[in-house]
Amino acid sequence: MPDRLDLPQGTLDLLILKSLSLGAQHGWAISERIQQVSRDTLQIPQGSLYPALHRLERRGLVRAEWGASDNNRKAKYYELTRAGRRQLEAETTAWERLTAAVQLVLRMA
Amino acid sequence: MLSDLRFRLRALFQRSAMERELDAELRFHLERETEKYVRTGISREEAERRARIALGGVERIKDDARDARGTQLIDSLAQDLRYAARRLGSTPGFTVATVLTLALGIGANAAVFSIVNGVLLRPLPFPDSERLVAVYTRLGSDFPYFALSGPEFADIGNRVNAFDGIAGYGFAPGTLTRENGEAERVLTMRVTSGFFHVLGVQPARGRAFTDEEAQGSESCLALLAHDASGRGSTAIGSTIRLDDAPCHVIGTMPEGFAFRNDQVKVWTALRINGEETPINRGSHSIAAIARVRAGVSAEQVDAQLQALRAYWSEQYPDHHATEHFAVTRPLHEDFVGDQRDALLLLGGAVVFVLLIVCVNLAALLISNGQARRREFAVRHALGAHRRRLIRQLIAEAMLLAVIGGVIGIVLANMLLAGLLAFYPQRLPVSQPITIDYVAVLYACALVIAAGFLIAFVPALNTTGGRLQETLRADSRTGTASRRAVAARSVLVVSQLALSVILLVGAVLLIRSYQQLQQVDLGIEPDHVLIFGLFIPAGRQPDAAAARRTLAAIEDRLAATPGVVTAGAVSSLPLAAAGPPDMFAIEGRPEPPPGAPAPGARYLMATPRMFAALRIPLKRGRLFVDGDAPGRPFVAVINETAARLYWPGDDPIGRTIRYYPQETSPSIQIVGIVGDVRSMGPREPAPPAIYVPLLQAPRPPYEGRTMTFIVRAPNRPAAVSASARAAVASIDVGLPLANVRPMSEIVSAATGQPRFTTLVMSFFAGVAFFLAALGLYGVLAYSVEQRIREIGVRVALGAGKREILRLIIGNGMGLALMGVGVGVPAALTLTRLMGGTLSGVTSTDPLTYIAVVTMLATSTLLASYLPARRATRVDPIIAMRTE
Repeated sequence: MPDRLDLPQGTLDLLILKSLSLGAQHGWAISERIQQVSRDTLQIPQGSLYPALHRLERRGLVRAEWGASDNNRKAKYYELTRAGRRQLEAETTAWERLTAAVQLVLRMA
Repeated sequence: MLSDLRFRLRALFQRSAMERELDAELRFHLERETEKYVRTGISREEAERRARIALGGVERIKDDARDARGTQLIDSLAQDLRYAARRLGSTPGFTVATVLTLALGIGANAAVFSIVNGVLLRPLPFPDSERLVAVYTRLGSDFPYFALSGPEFADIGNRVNAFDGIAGYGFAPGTLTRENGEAERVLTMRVTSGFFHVLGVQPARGRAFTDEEAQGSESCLALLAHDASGRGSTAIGSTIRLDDAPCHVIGTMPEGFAFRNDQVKVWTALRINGEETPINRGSHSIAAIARVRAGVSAEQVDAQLQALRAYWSEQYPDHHATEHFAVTRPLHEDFVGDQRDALLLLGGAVVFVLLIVCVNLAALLISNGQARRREFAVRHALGAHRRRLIRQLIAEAMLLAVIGGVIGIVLANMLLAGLLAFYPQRLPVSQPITIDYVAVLYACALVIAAGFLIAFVPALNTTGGRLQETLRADSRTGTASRRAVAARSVLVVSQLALSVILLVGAVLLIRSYQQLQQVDLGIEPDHVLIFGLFIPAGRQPDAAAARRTLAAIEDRLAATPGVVTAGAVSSLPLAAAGPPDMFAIEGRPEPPPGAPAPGARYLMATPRMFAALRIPLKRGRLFVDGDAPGRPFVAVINETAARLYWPGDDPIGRTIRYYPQETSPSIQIVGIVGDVRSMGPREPAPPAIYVPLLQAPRPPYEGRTMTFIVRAPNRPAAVSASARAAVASIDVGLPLANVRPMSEIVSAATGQPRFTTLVMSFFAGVAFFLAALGLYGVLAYSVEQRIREIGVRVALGAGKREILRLIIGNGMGLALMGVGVGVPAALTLTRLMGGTLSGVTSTDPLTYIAVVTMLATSTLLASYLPARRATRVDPIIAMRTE
C-alpha cells in the first residue's frame, strides 16, 4: 500500500461537500466514502471531520438532521444546501484551475 | 450570515443539547468503525481499540468542535465573570470599599447630569420648541438684548414673514379676589392675543382673547391657571376681581402650563401701543417671543431681519442708527443661558472626580496584582495567552464597576434631592428633574468607561514584564515590584494633575465669589426688614388718599421705638426688575440719532427711604416734607443717570418731562444720589429717577403698592411684630406681604455663584483628599518594596535625615510632576470658565500660588509617615527580607 498522503489544508471542506453532493450521509459514511473513493490514498484524521462538519453547518453550507441509519440506529445525517452546492461548484472550479496551472509550471522544467 | 447567527445562538443557549448530540455522533462513528474491523475477522476488543485510534482523541475532537461553533468568546467571558465574582467575594473588605467609592462617584455624576439634562438639554415643554425665539432690539454693544417698542413690535409682526406670529408679554403682581370673596396676592401675566398661538398651547377649557378684545379697552378678560380655577369656585363665565377691577373669566389653562414662571395664576390682555410717534418708537418696554414658520431656515430669518434693519435705518434714520436693529435668541437659551456655564462646569468637575476615583482603584489593583503574579505565571505556563489574562482582570474590574454603578444609581436619587434642595434658581414644577432613563444610560456609559479605566494599567502591569520569572525558585521580586511602583507613580501623578485642575477651578470660584461679596451694592442691607403693602382701589378709590395712608404708615413705623428709620419705595433693588421709562430733557432737542432716548427706572419713594437703605446723597438735596402735592415737582437721580444724560454738565436745576410732554408736568432735578446695583452685584447700576411718593407726577403710577423698609437693630421677628402693629394702627386689616430681611434678598442675588462655588469646592476637596491618599499609598508601597535598599543605605552610613530626604524627595518629585502637568492643563481649561468668574481672571497668579502651596503641604504630610517608617528600618532585618 503506497504511503497515505496528508491532506492539504482547507481541502477537507471541499471533499466533504463533494461527498455529500451524491446524497445525504452521516459522518462515518462520509469518512468511509472519501477513503474508498480516493483508493485509500488520502489520510484524513477522522476526528477532524466533525469540527469541519460543524463549521460547514455554521456557514449554512450543509444542513443536519437526525434520522435512522441502515441498521436502524439513530444517526445525524448531513445534506448539502443550495448554498453548499454553489460553494462546491465554485471551489471545484478553483481547485481545477489551480492544479492545472501548477501542472504547467512543473512540466516546464 | 443569518445561518451563522442562528447557529451561534443555538450553540449559546442549547449548549448541553449540542454536546449530547456530538457525543452520540462520535459513539455512532466508533460503533460503525468497530463493526468494520470485526467484519474482517478481528476480535471485538482489538477492533474497538483500532477504531478508537483511527478516530483520534475524543476530548480533542469535542474541543475542536466547540471552537468551530464560534461561541468560544462568550463561553470564556462567562467563565471570567464567574471567577471574578468568586475572587471579589473572597476579599469582602476590599470589595465593599471599592464598590462604595465607585457608587458615590457614579451616583454623583448621574445626579449632576440629571440637572444638566433637565435644565440645559431638555427642550421646552411647547410643541416644536426649537422654533421659538425671544425677540429683542439691540442698541449698540451696551444693550445687546433690549426690550422692543410698540412700533418696532408692530413692524416685526407686519414685515417679518418668517415669523408665524410674534407676541409680547409682561409679569405683574396683583390681587385676585374670587366670587366667594377670598383674596390672594398672585403673579399675573399680561400677554398679547397671539401669545398662546406662538407657544402652540390652547386653553384647556374655554378660549383665549382675540386681537380686537385685546386692543379694545372695554372689560378685562382673564384666563386662569389650572389650579387657580380648580376647587369649583371659579368657572368660565364668572367674574373675578383683579386689583379690584372686574374681569370675566373666559378660559383656563392646561395643568402644568408655565412660561418662565410657574407661579402665574392669571393671564390678561396686553395692549400694545403701536402708534407711530418718535416717542413711542423710542419707548422700549415690550418683552417678545416669536415662532419661526415651519420650513423656514435660520438664514432666511436672518435675511429678513437684515431687510428690516435696512428698512428701519431708511425710514427712521434718527432713531435707528446703524447699531440699532432687531435680533433673536433661541427661547431655550433665553430661559437658561445664564445657568449654562455654571452647570457645565460642575458637570465636568464631577467627571474629574470619578476619574480620580478610578485611578485610585487602579492603583489598588496594581498592588493586588503584584500578589497574584504567581497565579498568572502558572496560568501563562499552562498555555493561557496574555490577552486572556488581561481579559480576566478587565472582567474583575468591570464587575466592580457594574456593582458600583447599580448602587450608584440608587444613591443618585438621594444626591439629586440634596443638590436640588440647594439649587438657587427656581426650577419648573411641571418638568421635574429626576434620575430618568437618560441619566441611567449615562451612568451605564460611565460604568463601562470606569471598568476599562480601572483595569487598563493594572492589567498590563500584572501580566507584563517577564511573567515566567516569577515561577523560578530564586526569583527576586525586584524588577516586577519596581515596575509596579513605576506604574503606581504614573497613576498618582495623573491624580495629582487632575486634582490641581479642580483645585484651581475651585479657588478661582472662591475668589470670584469673594469679589462678588465685596461689590458695593450701594445700600446697607443688614438689620433691615422688608415687606409690601397694597391698597387696592376697592379699599380706597382715591389714589392720593391711598398714598397718604401709606405715607402715614411710614411715619408711624419710623416713630416706633426700636426702629432707627423707615422708608418706602415702589420697587426694591434686587427684588424686581423693570424696563426703563423714557423722558425728555427740557431745553434739549430730541435724542441724537443712534443714542437711546434718555430712560431710567422710575421709582416713587418717601423722603426717609434713602436713609433707611443708607443710599448716600452725592450732591444737591433729598426730598423733604415740603415736596408735597401742589408744590413744584422734584426728582432725585442717581449718578449713572447724571453721567449718561448730562455728561460734563450739572443736572441739578434741570427739568425733565415724561411723555406725552404736553400733559406731563415739568419735574426739576434737585439732587444726585449714589448708584444702587439693583440688578445684582454682577451688573452695573442702571440709571434711576426717584420722585416723592406723595407727588406722584405720573398718573398711571398710582403708588398703591409700596415696599416698606424698616431699619432696626432688633431681631426680625420682633421688628416684624412692631411693623404689623404700626400698620394696624393706621389701617386695620391691611395685610403685610412678603415679610423678610433684606439680607435674604441680597443673599439670593448671589445664589447661583454661591451654589457653584460650594459644589465645586466640595468636589475639589474630595479630589484633593483622594490624590493625597494615592500619594501616601504609592510612597508607602515604594518604601515596602525598597526595604532592602534602605537597609543597605543605612548600613553604609546613611543618617536619618538622608533617608527622610530620600522618601520625601520622592514624594515631592511626584508632586512636582503633578504640578507640571496640572498647571498647564488648568491654564487651558479654566479659560472656559470665563462666564462663571467675575473680578478674577482665569490666570490669576494668587490662585495658582495658593494651589501649589496646598499641594506642597499635603505632599509633605503624605510623605511623612512613609518617610518615618523608612527611617525605622533596621538594616539587619532588612537584609533578610525577601
